[in-house]
Amino acid sequence: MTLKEHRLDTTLILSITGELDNAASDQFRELALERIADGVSRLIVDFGQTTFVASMGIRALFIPAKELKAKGGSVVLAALNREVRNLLLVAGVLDLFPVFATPEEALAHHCK
Amino acid sequence: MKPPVTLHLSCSHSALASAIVRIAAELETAGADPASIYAARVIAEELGTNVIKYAYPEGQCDTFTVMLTLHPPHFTLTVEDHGTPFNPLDCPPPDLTLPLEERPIGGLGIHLVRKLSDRVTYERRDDKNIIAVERRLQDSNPPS
Repeated sequence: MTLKEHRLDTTLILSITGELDNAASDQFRELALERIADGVSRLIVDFGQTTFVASMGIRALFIPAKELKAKGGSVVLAALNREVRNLLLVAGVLDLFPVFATPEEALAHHCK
Repeated sequence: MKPPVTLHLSCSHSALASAIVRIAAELETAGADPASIYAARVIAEELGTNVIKYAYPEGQCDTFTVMLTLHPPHFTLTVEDHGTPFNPLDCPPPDLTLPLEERPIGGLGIHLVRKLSDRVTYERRDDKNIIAVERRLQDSNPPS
């Protein structure tokens, strides 16, 4: 897994390339929490290049989301492919996060 | 029926990741659809991670076995370890109605395994934990 960051003020687009599997989940969570501590209040997770997500990857989304919710911020998901979307649905977490077709749409939505 | 593909893995995530690649390739050759291949990857990842992280006292995990049996229109993934007796099917399903702040962090892996498969069985035999997970090769096939 490779994480790519694109920061715009207090919004961070975090793009996951490859597999957010159980081994990679710590890396994702740590980076997200670090950036939140550093002032990020809206985290857009871009799944456009994500080939696989496992349960600990889903949990790694929860922890920053709880942290941000307590601070009035949010985690939103973008560019879910069919398999990842289905997995989040089965995990019962899809309705916990706003979902956008692309990271750009997630950005635009926030500005309105 | 083809003989099962049996993979003896060291207790590391990289070994598990290679096994998952192999399983996905075997399923693709057997005509499994993308949803079933994805499900198999998740099932192997979750069960394998459980063995690596939890089946043995710290540092004592040596090897475990992942087996793929093709019996069209279904397949079975079997994971065996010599660890502490543990039936993951005894775990209660997570409460998916709770709001984000109250969601417990654990319990998701086995929930995914159950939801993505047609049948899951556990047995303790010959000092081994044996979990067998059966699923359709294609969503258009009837559930097993």
